[in-house]
Amino acid sequence: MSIRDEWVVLDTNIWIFGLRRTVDCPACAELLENLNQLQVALPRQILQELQANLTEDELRVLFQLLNRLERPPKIDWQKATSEAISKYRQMGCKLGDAVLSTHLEELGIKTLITENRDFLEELTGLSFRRVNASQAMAELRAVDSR
Amino acid sequence: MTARVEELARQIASLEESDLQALLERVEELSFRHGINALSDRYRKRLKEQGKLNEGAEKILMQLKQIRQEIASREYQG
Repeated sequence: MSIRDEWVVLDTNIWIFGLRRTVDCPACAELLENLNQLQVALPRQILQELQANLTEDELRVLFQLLNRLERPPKIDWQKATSEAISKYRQMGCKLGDAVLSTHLEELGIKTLITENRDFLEELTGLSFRRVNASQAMAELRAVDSR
Repeated sequence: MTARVEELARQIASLEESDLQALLERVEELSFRHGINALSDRYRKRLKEQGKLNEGAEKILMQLKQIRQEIASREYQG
């Protein structure tokens, strides 16, 4: 199983850094350009955060593009369950991160791509692995070179 | 349809099946890339007009964390 063959969640910071082409994170833009190589899921919390950052028109264009992919994204508007949120809160997650962690667990997703250091460095015992954009790109390139 | 497009279509239609498949996949990939870059250009233009384009990564991360907390607090009160 490689990163290409599993559902992954891109944290909001990846979408925003990628679209902004933030100089400090060129891999985020690179990752967005290579979305055709990933199977992306968009849980409720991420959808709402994208809504808060992008205009209605920008979102519409983004989803038109995503729906043209050979493997269109999995959109999930289900709310997270409070029991699981509590579990992640007890593990040290802030409320928002606990909600996102719950979404990943409930969707059975094992990889979160994020630049959020709370996820990357500080939390342990989560049900999914965390990689940053550079690591995700390296994994994609490794699959290509096989 | 222009003569150039007609000629291209004829050339593409004459390709072997495997080459045709590879070509279509590559066109799809480049078309997506073109689309995402066009969206990025548009988003960046708006941010520039709002004076936000050159915000640093740390500031953006902080803002995103704040938005995350606000949304989660609103949705999962108590």
